[in-house]
Amino acid sequence: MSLPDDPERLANATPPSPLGELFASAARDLPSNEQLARLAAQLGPILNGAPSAPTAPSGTSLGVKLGIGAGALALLVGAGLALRGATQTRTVSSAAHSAAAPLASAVSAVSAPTPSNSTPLAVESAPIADDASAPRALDKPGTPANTASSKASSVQSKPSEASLLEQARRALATSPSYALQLANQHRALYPHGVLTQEREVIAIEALRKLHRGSEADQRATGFSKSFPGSAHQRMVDDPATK
Amino acid sequence: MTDEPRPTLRQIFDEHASYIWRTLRHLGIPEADTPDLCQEVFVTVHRRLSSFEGRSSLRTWLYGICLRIASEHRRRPHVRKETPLSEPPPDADEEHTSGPESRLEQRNAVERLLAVLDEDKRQIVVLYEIEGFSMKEVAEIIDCPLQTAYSRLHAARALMLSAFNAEKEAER
Repeated sequence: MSLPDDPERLANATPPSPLGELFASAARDLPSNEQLARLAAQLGPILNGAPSAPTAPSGTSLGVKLGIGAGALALLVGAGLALRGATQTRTVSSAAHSAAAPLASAVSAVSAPTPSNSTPLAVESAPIADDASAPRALDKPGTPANTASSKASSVQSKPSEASLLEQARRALATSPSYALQLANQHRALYPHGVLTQEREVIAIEALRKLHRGSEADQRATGFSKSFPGSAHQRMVDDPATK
Repeated sequence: MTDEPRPTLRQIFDEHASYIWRTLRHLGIPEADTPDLCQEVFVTVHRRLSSFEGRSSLRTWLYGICLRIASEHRRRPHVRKETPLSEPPPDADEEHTSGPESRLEQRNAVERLLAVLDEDKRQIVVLYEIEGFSMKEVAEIIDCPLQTAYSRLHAARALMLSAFNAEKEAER
C-alpha cells in the first residue's frame, strides 16, 4: 500500500495556516540557559559517567533514583554545606540551596570519579581571570574555625560542586565579582569537575557584567573549543555580537 | 548495532536536553514538574544507554523514553493539572524576539489547542509539528502503524482548527 508523503507542517503551510504562527512559536519555546544549567547541576554525577543502578520508582529524588540508601544520603546531604568564602566565614544554610543541590552533592560524593587521566580541558588551563578574586585555599580541617567539624570526614571540608555553583549562580544577579570568585574557586577545587561547563558559563557571564569583555571573550573561546555543540553555547556567545 | 561509538550522557544532554524539555512541556507536563521529569528521562537514559542497540536512531529512542515517562506521569493521581500561566515565567528565554507577554500568550494558546486532543493525538502533533520528526519516525516512536499516525494527525488538525475558530468566534 502506498502511503502519502508527509503533509506540510502547519508552521510552514502555504497558504499560511491560522495555527502556523502558534506552532512556530512553540518550536522556539526552549528552556532558558539557567533552567538547563540547573538541570545539569542536578544530574551532575551521572553526566560524568557515574555507574547506573537498579530501577527505582519515579517521582523520587535523584539520590533514590540512583539507588543510594537513605543512610548514606542523610550522612552526605550535610556534606559540603559549609563553605568558607575568601574573606569571611560563610556558613551556607540548607535553605540557601535548591532542594536538588544537596542531593546532587550527596550523589557526587558517593560516585565521585576516580582521578582522571584525561587531557586537561582548555578552559581549565586558561589563566584565572582575576587575581584579586582568585580562590583562596579553604580552611583546612583542624584550624580553629573548623574545630567543630574536625571529626567530620574530609569531604565535609569542601563544598560540593553543585552547591558552590548554585551559590555562584545566585550571586550573579547581585554580585558578579563574588560569582566570579566562586566560579574560580570551583575551578581550583574541581579542575576536572562534572560541572565544568556550568562553571564557565557563570564565569563568562560574571566577567561580562563586570565589563571585562576581553577576559570574557578569552574564556568563551576556550569554552567553545572544549565543548563544541554544548547546550550552553547560546549563553556563552557574546550578546553584543549577535 | 551500528559501528558508531555510543555517545556519552553528557553529549546526549548537550544535544537534546532543550528539546526534551520542550517536548515534555508540550505533552502537558506542568511547568513546575518539567525539571523533575527531564531529570527522570536522563536518569532512564543513563540506565539504558548500554543496552541501546542502534536499531532506531538515538533521537527516536530518546523521545520514546520521553513520551513513556510523560505518559506515566500524567496517569499519577497526584499530578497537578496544568493551568495557563498568569505571569511570564521567570526563566523566559532572553533570546526570543517577542516580549514576555506575547510569548506567554502564544504558549497559553498552544496549550489550549493541545489540550483539546487526547494523548495519542497530542503526541503525534508534538512530534510532527513542533519537534520536526518525519511521520515515519513518529509512527516508530509511538509504536503505531504509519497509516494510523497519518489519520490521527489529520483528526488532530481538524480538532485544533475547530477549537481555534471557536475561540476566535467567542472573542468577537
